[in-house]
Amino acid sequence: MAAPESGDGNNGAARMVTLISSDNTRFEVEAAAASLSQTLQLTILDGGGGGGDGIPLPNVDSATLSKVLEYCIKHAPAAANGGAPNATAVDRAELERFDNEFVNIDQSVLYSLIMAAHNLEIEGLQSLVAKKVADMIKGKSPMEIRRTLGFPDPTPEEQAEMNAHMLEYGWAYE
Amino acid sequence: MATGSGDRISALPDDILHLLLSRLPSDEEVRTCVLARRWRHLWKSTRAIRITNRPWTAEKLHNFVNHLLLLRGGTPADVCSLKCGHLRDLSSSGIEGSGHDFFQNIHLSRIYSPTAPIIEKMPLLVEADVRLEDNFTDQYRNGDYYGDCKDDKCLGCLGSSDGSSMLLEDLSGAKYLELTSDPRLYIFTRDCKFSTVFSSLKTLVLNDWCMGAEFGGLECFLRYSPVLKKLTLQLEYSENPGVKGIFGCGIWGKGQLSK
Repeated sequence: MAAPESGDGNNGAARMVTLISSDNTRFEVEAAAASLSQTLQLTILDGGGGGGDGIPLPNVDSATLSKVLEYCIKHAPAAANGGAPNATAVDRAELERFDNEFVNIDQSVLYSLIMAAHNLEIEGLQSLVAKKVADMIKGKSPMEIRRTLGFPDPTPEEQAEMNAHMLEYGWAYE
Repeated sequence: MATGSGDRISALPDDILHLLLSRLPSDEEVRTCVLARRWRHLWKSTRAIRITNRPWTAEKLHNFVNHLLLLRGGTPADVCSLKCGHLRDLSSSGIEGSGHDFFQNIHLSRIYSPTAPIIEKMPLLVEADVRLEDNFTDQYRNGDYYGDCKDDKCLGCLGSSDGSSMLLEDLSGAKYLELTSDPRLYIFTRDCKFSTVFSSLKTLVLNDWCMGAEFGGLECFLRYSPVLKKLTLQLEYSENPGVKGIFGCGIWGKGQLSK
């Protein structure tokens, strides 16, 4: 089954690679999707990850890797198109809808996703999670941000320190 | 909402937090310094400066940018985004009078710390998005308020009074530039007269201001951007309502550009 004339430039069926999570689960995925990771790209270009070998990812557990690959598979066609300058508005809207839905997740999952996006150097995903965190901070008071980002409740001493700092940084407040 | 374990955004490594914070407008980024001791200085090391529209006075904006740049020290920025416009209550800030005074306040390259000029050339700058908007049209309609005072020797029109660099020169190392301005503002048009070479510029987005002064702005970029690949003109402010729209010129060959 020939993939549409795009992707990794191989003829015929899309080349597959195997990724192995930290808890030893194997994921078979198209090379084009896995190559969204800058970290994996060179290994894959060198022919790694095929056959029975698989590329071990000791820093990424299976739940996170599955989520990361969901992103990569969705974004691979557009990425293969060089940022998809020819993508239709419908395609772009669909990717945007997917992205919004994709980061609508628990903070612990988001945390793992941020770490994985950086370890694997997946640029689009890095941007997406960074935007998500920025949206979690925007327009909130310091106490609201602390709660949102999972800081422990401040001690009275820390609270006093925060107040003092807000005064000192008055120039950054409206 | 906090999990109580280590899986918290607040516990991410510094380098990742820098990237996350760099997405925020600079004022919100600075305000994260009160969150915790570990966050006190994180904002100073991010690689972006994003000045967004706030309902501030020019004085307040000036004060903010001064503090921001002074405390960042020499931290380089890859991204510089300036969106200046919605300033309020100019008269009470003591900025009324000549238009030049006002522009000195939003003209980043001319904002000074008590000790030294702050933004000079930014060789590491890759991407800059500068929007000079204007929302006080109705308040100030005094002829040439928007810039050129028609006096060739005017230091306000010829860059800053001590001969320091101008905005476009500061941005001349960028690969990606998006420069939009109310076409009546004079800052870009003036800076174009100084033949700054944009040696790395590959992608450029301009709006109507570049068509003014007999296409002076456009000509400047076509002449002094040797490796420009993609030029987009966003024409929205056109006097002629029939010429509204966004024109992307796609990838141009160098030969075409030099014509």
